[in-house]
Amino acid sequence: MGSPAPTVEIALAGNPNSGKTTLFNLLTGLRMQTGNYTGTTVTRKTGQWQVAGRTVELIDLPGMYSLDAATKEEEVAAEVLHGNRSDVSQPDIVLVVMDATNLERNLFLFSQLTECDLPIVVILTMMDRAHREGIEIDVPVLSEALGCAVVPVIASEKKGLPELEQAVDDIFTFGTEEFPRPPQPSEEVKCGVGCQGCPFHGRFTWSESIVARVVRTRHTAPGHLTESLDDVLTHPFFGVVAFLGVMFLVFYAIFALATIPMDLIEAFFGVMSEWVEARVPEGDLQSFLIHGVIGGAGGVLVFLPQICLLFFLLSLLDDSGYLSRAAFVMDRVMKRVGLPGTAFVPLLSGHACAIPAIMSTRVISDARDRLATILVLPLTSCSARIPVYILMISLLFPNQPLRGAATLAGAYGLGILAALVMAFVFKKTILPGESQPLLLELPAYKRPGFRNAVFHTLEKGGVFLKQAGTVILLISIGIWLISTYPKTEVSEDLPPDRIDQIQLENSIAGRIGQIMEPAIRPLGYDWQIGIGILSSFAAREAIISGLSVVYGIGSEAEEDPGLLLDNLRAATRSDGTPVFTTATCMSLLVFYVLAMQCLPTQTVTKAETGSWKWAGFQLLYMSVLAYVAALVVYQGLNLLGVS
Amino acid sequence: MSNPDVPSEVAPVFKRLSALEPRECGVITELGEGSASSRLQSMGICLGRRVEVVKNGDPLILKVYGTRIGLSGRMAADIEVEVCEAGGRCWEEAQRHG
Repeated sequence: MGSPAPTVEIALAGNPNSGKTTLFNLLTGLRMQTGNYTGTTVTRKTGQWQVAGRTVELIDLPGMYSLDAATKEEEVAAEVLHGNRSDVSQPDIVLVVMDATNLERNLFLFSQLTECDLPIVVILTMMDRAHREGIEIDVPVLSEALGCAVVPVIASEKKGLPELEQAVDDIFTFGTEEFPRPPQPSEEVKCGVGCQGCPFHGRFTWSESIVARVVRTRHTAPGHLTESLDDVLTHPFFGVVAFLGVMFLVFYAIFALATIPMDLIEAFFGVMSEWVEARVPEGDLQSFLIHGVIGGAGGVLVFLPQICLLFFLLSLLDDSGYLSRAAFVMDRVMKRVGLPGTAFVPLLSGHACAIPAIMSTRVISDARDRLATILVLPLTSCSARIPVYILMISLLFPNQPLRGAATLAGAYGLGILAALVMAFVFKKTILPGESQPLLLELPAYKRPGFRNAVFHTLEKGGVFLKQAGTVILLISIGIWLISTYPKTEVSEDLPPDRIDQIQLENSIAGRIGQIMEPAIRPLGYDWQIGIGILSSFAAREAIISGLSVVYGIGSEAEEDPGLLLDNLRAATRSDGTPVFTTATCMSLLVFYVLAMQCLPTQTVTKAETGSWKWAGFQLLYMSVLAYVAALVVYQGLNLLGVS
Repeated sequence: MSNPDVPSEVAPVFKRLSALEPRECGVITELGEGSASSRLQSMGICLGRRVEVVKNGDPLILKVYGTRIGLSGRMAADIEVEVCEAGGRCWEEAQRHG
């Protein structure tokens, strides 16, 4: 570099599945930041790389097949490389990551990158696999042909890093002007015979001519392992069976493993609450700290183990090459509701938690398909609904495990059905168009990188905390405010649970609950349930603590869940009839299957769609859907004489 | 001497890509309107490239250069290929690729 630029920026560019991210993780370690390119939902990932005695900013560009902007990711990557973005500057050097087992297609991208007028270093990855498959690449000749340094790297063995450093140092030392530029692809590239000006044809002809010169033994078939695995895993029937088996294992792992850290997190916040309780005098401040701040923070963090586990496992599956097979086999099914096969894994992941599921919709290439998937995702029954389902089922069918299990399965089924139907409706109305026809690479299977998965998990977990953390804390403080104020004068002689109950009834939330009773009475709810629903606006599982307070059992409900059940069963309306009848419980169950009630998800929808508009729309349509469905269930059951 | 009235042994056979059997290959001769996307072409499914069908059906699996690509039947039906026959245009190349 002639002038001492504040920071040298080096971009990593390459095809998807070329090993680019593995290399990025290897070079930068944990010194990375993620964000979005301004005005887009395309991830901008950068990290610090110590190279040749200086610290440079390494940019992991989105994976791309070409600079022709077939996707938003490619569009942004092309803008960055051409220096056409206002939010980031053009990089100083481009490292082009090429899969040694598939040079023809990787050279296609290279031929476009030479037009960006930037110094280039080529990194050959997958050298070990190329070797196994009998592909020998004459690196000096390739370097000569491309007019730039070519460095083979084996990331798992950290081979080739000193050479890479040397190549970058050479650019620093000799400057960009003197550095040999890769030649523009020659005349044959411009137009081959009969190509009718097709720029692709020329570039591919050029890259084939290079490969003919530098690759000696050529049989680039993927190994036998990939062939035989694909016979089963892409089979129309066995492929689906295998997929469901894999996803079952993923869910089993999530539910089996996440409970331990979740319990620890809850215990930690419990200890914090006790600590505050012991040191802060009883009163508004104590209540604010415990219910507003600690409760809000705990409500966000308690999701984290599930979110992280799901990201971790999905990353392993993705890295192994399996996820694209899952999308392949599910495409046939998903096409019927107008969504691509790639939407299925996010939809299924939504059954653990909608947040990582929404964040993983980035695999869906078409913007409308992706938006439709995001909109319907919260309809799938996430794990936070389980406590609510269990409560309702325990009220409905005590000691009837078979009916209980059938109802639980019905709740999950209703969620899936609603998601698919709504996806179909959205694709027919506000997001019209057929699902984008399937076109995806099925990379050769490989052993997934543990390190990559850990990095991916940390990155996504961090993004969630950053995006959701502050908003949720604010809202949870807001909810604390409306359920605490205004204060009512109550006799000190009453038991504390009764005081809490009276306070809540007279707070803003309590009054809203009473005002809205006419609106929710057709669903079979009284104003107490209304308060419960209001209090679970930000997090659906909060209805349990909400109901505990309105029915006057307070904190004891947590220690003895049976107590809450007994109290709910005993609860009566003003006319003496029980509140929680079969019809009311069913109506409430359906409401909780379909209602939004998750603020963290809303913030992630906002982040992933780029506007609060879609998050608001999601809240609105799901609320209407939940209301109408609960109304139909309650009124229908009453008509049938079930009460 | 070639006689234009007698069809040559290596007369090119054109088929829709979706009509190829597994392990059959062909050179792409035409991309229809629905398939001429830059995405498809930058992945190597473009005029003059040789592709092999690994698995037919909808979606089908193609081998393009060293990679397998899953492609919807709708798109494949919109792509015309010249089938690689013994002695045909891409036969030699197919032999070399093994």
